Amino acid sequence: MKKFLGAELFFETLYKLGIKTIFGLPGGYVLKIYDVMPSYAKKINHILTRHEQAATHMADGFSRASGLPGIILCTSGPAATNTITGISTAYADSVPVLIFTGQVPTPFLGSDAFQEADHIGITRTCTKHNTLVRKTIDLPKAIAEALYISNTGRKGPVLVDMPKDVIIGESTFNFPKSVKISSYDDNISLKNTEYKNFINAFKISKKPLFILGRGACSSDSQKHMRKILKKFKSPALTSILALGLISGSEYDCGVLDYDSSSISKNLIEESDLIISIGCDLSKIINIKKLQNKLLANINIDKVDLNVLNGSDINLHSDSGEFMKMLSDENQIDFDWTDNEISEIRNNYKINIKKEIDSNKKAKIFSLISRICPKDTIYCSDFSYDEVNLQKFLEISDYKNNLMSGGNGTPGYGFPAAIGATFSRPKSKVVSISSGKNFQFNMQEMIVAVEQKINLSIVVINDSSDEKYPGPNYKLLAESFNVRATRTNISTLLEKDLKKFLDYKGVTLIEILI
Amino acid sequence: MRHVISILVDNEPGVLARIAGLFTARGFNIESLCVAETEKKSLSRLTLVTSGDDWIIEQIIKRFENMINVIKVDDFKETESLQRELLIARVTPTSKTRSEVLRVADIFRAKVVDVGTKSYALEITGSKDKLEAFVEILRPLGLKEINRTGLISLKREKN
Repeated sequence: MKKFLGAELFFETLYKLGIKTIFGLPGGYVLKIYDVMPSYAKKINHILTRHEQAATHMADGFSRASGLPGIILCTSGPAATNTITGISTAYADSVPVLIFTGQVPTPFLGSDAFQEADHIGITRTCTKHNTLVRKTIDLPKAIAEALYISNTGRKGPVLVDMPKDVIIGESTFNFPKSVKISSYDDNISLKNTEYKNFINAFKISKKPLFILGRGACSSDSQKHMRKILKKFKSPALTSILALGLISGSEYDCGVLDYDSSSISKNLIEESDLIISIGCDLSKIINIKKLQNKLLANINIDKVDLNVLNGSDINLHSDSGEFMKMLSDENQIDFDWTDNEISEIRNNYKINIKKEIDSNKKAKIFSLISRICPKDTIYCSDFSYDEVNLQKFLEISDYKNNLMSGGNGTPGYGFPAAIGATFSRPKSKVVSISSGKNFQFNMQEMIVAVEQKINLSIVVINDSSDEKYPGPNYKLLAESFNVRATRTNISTLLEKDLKKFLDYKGVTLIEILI
Repeated sequence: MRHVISILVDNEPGVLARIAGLFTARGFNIESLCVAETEKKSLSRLTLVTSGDDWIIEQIIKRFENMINVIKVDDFKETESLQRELLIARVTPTSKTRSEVLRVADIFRAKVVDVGTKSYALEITGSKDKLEAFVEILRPLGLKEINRTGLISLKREKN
């Protein structure tokens, strides 16, 4: 039988698993993989990044924008430790990414060798699973299993550590026919008794309220959710990560998060049954406020169930399956009136408008989303000192909403935007960051230029801070060969902004506020 | 409250560190821990004793169940399971207490497993309470050192 190098098995397996794009950076222990890469160049596109953290965010953005898994390849030690922030980001928001790291040869493991770090130990608490491959022959199986674990159940990052002798060793190609892991159960199906419990409570409730989280987006559940809202004429709130899931629905009452307006808080106050689908509730609301409510909690991860310690109705299920069953129930008339809901929606819009008028950054966000086409992917950063600005955008689909939620990673937006252009090359991609956040990963501009992608970068330069003034982003971008312009918010005209956002290629607009 | 948690895991490197890590993350102490192969070579059983808030223990158990290498987790109540521990004690009695030590060993059904000119080594199995009583009685009789395995447990058959 034909023998392959470990490095060749790496590509052969990825190709068989349908992977077409990987993000990475070469280095010591993975050089063999880069040596054989040219012969696989037609099958697998490798994007050379300038920093491993950015590579991880790119793979994360690639995945969020398309639902496909994101792949990262890097070497050991400093490269692997650089990926930790990106891995934590993906872990907090349940994004399927696979991280392949090089490692010192197996005989030297644990000897403090050159560029050695204990990748398995370091990433234990920020990956869904991680594994060290010890023999070349096991590599295809390890990769197939890692992808399977990463992309099923509650999705998340999985790290595969590959020592140098595994990569340069030879073996036949043993591709597993099917992946079955005895100790891993991804077949989580809704229990009838749990569902009946819920339906009984649902039927006697007067004013049910839906809260939708990132978990509600993971299945192809958009149409079921819309059907549910229409059938039961009940309002829904989304978490900031589920923005766009029910956009345009007349029952969408806005965003629920810690700095939510009083409207969503009143809505919770008024309802008698709260149906939370795919949320990590403790991250978006003060749990104590739900103490005297009836809460139905639908989650694929048992850890996020039973948040009220016994008094809630828990359904351990995939959100898609639950939504499908609920959408097939008979119609029930609840006490909500259409007038009431449209008034809530109006008040929410008025509040958003007020914030846009008083907050310069919010104004820029809203202006950009007015100009850009409907199917635009928006990538932004969490900022330490601000409200979540993503809610000022008009987002048409949850796949168009790229931001770091649970981990709140500064510097996420820009590399994620680069990643998104590779999985959705036909969509417009806009990255909006404040100058401080942009600086975390600004070196990746060179990647965007090299790869000849279409990407609009908006940098909001908060120059009022005289003690720590930022660089001149226009000059900076031009040194990377990026077409750039600099403007002041007081003189910014919508048509100028539109003209600039319409340019092809990589462009940067710096807005001073 | 005290919990005896029995975990069936894949017999692979790194699994123990993963499980212990969850306890450190929550700032919990592991009172005893016992790991060994089961009837199947590919599986290990891990018996762990800890105490803490019931709700947090429940959360930790859920996280165990989420781990890829964990097959089954049981949180045993005392009445539902057999619980045993093994203890070895070295005693250096005086000429006056020598026969008393052997009498105590006899009462507790402990075995003498090593005899020297100055000391005895005694081996005893039993519940935690029995072992503690044994140690307390030996203490004034010249107890030098002990070593114990930590609790192991097995589910009782249901009637």
